[in-house]
Amino acid sequence: MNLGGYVGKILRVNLATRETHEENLSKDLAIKFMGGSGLGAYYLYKELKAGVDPLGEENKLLFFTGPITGTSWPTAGRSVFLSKSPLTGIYAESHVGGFLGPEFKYAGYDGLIIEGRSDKPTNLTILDDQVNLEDAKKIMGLNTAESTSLLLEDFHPDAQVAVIGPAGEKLSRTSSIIINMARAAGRCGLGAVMGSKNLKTIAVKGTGGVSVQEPEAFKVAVDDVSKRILTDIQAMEQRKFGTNLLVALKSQIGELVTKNHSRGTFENAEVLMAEHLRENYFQKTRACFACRVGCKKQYRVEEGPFACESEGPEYESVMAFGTNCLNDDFGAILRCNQLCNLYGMDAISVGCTIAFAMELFERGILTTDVIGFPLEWGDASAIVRLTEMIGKREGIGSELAEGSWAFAQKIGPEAMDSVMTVKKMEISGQDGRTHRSMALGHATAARGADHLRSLVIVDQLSYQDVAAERFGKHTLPEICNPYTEQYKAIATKLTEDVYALRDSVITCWYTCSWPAIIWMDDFLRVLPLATGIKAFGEENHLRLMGERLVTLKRMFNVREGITRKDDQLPKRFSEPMPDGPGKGAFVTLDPMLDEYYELRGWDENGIPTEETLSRLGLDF
Amino acid sequence: MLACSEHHVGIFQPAVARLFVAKFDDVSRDLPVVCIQCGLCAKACPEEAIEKSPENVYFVVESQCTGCGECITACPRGMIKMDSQGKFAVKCNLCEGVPSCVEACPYEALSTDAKKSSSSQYRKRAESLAAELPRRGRS
Repeated sequence: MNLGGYVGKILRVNLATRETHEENLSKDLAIKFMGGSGLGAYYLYKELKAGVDPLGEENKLLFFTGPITGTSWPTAGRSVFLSKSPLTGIYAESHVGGFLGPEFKYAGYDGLIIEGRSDKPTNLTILDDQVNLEDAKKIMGLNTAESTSLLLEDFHPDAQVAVIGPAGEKLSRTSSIIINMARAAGRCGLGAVMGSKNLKTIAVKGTGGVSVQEPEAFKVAVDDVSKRILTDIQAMEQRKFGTNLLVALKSQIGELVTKNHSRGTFENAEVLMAEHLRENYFQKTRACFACRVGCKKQYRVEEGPFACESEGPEYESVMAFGTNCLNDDFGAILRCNQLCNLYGMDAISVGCTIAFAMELFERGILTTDVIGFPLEWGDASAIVRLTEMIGKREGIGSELAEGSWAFAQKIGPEAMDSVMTVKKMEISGQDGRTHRSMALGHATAARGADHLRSLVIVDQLSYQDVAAERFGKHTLPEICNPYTEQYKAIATKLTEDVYALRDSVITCWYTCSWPAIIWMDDFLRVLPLATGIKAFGEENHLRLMGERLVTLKRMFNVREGITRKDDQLPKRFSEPMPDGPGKGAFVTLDPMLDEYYELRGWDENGIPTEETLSRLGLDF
Repeated sequence: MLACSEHHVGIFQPAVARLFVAKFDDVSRDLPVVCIQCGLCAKACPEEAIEKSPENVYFVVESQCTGCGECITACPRGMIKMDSQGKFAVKCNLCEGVPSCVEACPYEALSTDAKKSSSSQYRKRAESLAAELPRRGRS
């Protein structure tokens, strides 16, 4: 295939037969599904049968890059794992930064499809066109950092390594895939998919390159967008503080997720705010591939029982192990985040599951006898201890490792009032009551309670100019009021479409979504320059593609039985917010759902109509 | 590395870049390793194919290079490679003016101005990281 940006090959590996082979990437598919999560979703939909066991032999693990991955485009280091999720039983995509995606392209591949199950522990090593399945016995049971170090020694000192830890090996449904020791394809429990396939690591070293169709003009476009990033005040704040900026921002609008999603403010939030963290614990900034933002922060806690140094935590971890557990001990949060990286666990799911268990303890449903120790709100030692037990699958930790929904099912109906999930996935650090578009996003996102597929951040942060540009002047001022449902369905739909492109190109959340620097015009400009595909310069083509990708992922879920009855939020969100600036606010979901389905061309039950499928070219 | 390969070979290919960033993910540190124009390669070259510019930059005269690889052995930093066909040596020539890596780095971590070089604390850390490189399989 003679296209820029893409390298033109998909690598298929069957772990059962131990066969590997290359397939050509079809230009038609690239034009229709782009790459990244779009192209990956196409392969997943086509190749998985409905109803397969996520941890069974028939499930597949896909890894995809996009047409700009590996170029100098700012944040072109993203890549995505896809599969059927063991946590939710539906569509799964989990993105990760770092350096793995570009390396994979330099090895000569746009995508990887892993099939079958190995009968013994295996490492998949890829050195350009040398693809090998090697014995992983020696590193089984080791944590992600130890495993990565050994792979670098044994395989190649400059390799990029994706690895599962003990959690993935033990098939925890809250496990993750870790790359570069501190970047995570965190959500959806994909570590367990690797574990179920007996695949411990994927290690890649590539010596080839990625060329673009029009290098001169591409460089000008890259310089231009880099300049915009480097002069953006919020991007530079991100560089200084990372995502922990959100602790202060969310306190202001009463959306700081607190006490198992029951409240919107945390009285001790100040000690978890970005400025405080920078002053007291900051060590170093690190960046992912080709990034001009550099939001990753390294912190060190010198004293106390949890003294440690580790990359992270992000806002979501501070929420999950901090505010959501009423815990203001940053050392404990840093330690839990580190444990999540070492054991290979999703910090959001694990932290929120602990918050859920704390609520059960408060309600007397879980007792000291069952847990082995008391689990009071804010008990930093108990949080760290339980995190480690979940990683090792010890005692009650073994059951909590399956996620809050599965645990609640085991306990019985009385526990269901406290479980904060959508489609069995733990809800991330947002609250629909004080961020109404997020309520719709959490309810409808393809992988369950997901803050990354449609988060209309312009309403939350009141970017009036951006809102007017994206959704029309007539949507002001309501669009920038996070406490009202008005215009939130259209904003969610339009944003979700563009984010579907973002995740297929692939460019990072930070610069596209927050701060709002890269948007449709940039895609229209840069994609034809990179690939030579003229259609990528036509707004109608890209807008239709965005819609196509969202509905394609919906179709995967419809095939698994998902309908309107699953697009629901926990009862707590329809009850008034008890505190903070948004006191009294609650979600009225149904009208937003009706409007959203209509905009999408789905029927009132949330099923895409025949007409919509044919309009989007999904009638296959 | 992207800017370097883009400048010299026109595509994004870090493997042929004339500098590298050693990554120490286990301690969350990164060490950019660049040519310091020390000239040991020129001394080692039996063909006198590495010359010095008026600005004290050592560059390869491709037509004179026989591809023997003496310079690669001589370089203490592992900064010299063979070109993709193995015909001649390739090294950093500071882009014959303004180095593209310096221009590209958004963190201002690279500079051609010796006065801007790291404080002793960072230099010490960099030296200890550099000492780790051979143990990790890098020259």
